Amino acid sequence: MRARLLADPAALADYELLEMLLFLGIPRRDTKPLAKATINRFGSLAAVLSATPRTLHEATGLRGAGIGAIKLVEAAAARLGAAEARERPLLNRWDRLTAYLDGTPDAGPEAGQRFRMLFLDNRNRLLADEATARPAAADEAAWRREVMRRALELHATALLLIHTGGDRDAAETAVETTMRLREAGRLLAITVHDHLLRESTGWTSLRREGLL
Amino acid sequence: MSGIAGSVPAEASPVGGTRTGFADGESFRPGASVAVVPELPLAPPQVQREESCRRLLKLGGALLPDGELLALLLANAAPGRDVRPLAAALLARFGSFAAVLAAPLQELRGIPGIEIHALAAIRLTHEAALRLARSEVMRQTVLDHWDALMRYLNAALARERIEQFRILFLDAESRLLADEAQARGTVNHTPVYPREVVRRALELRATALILVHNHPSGDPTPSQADLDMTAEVRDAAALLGIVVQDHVIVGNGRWLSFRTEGLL
Repeated sequence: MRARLLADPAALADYELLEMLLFLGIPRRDTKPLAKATINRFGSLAAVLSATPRTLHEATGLRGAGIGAIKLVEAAAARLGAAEARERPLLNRWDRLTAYLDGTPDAGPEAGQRFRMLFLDNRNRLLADEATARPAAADEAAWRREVMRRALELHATALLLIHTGGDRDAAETAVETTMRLREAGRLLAITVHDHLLRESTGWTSLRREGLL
Repeated sequence: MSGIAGSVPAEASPVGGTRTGFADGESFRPGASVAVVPELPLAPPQVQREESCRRLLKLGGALLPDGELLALLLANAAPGRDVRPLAAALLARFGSFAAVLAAPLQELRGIPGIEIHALAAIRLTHEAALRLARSEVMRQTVLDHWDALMRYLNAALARERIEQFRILFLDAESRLLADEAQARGTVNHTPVYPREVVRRALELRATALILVHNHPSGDPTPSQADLDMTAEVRDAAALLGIVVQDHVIVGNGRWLSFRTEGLL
């Protein structure tokens, strides 16, 4: 059922969601019968989720963490429904870009050479920040298509390639990948702004270095 | 890496490379500080979990900070582990508890230290929360429950990375009969077909409807295509006496109502 949850949570029945929530509180039991009985007793999943801790305890015998897992859902609904008037990061300047990159952890050198693609809109606001392993030469065309597909899906008009886990030599060979990506983007009106490399001294822009 | 073992293997994409995801920082200001996990005495994880749980049950979720709610969710999924590093990493990437809940699976998978139990707990809580938010407006009169409706639409759409359309079908008393997702948006293509919308309204015996979609850019200002599509649907529906009552565009923390703006 966990696989179904990760694939398509909306397809799960109400009682299945409750079954999994209850399982967080009573992990060694088959919680399906309890889930069905509880929903029947309260009338709906929403009624269960809204019930007071005392009522939940009286109805199910759950304690502490089990009830907490259920009440967390109510807190989650409130936060999800609230307006978060935060803006997408504006990455139109070098200092803003590096501040954003420095503020977000990445996978670290053990992960090997990785590319992070930053997808931007036409005001250079960040739409998405997604990682991908550096493609093998034979796979590169397919990788390019995938990147462009994602850019179009996001309605992105610009990309930034962020290169971690490599050194200057690796970057210089990777630059050709970037140039081919840029060429592919041209006809789609998608600009590849830059290829950034993380070095020990900080972030290096290969465009500024004249390599792009 | 923290002590959390067993990272979820990256999804192998058909490309032959691997594809994991980091966040988009939708709710993240550049330069903002990282950790929102509250400064509490360094209690052992189990004690911390019990204390946070007590606070949640006693005070209610509204009074707990995002970091504590997230740590509690993760602790329930991995009892006995110290979840604070993972909670901090998630908040740094996504910016808030709600943003973590709404984050796409591929982006969650890219967080160092994430594993399957945490992923499942996040997705489970998110889905259950959406159903709870929706239950507050289903079968209720829309105008009397407009705030609750906006909260539900915000929960469902405000953090989505791509455009999605939904249609709210109403009965003669303007009660919400159904809330149905339509095809997701693609570039230069309106996925809402007036004929399909009207057909569905007839099937549901709806006499009015509200169109809804989100703008991932965060700005709810309607495009010309939005205006044209609305007029098309309105005209098609009017032929059968079905009223398009409104078109709501959900942005990032704000929304726009065509009716209020005089666009309908």
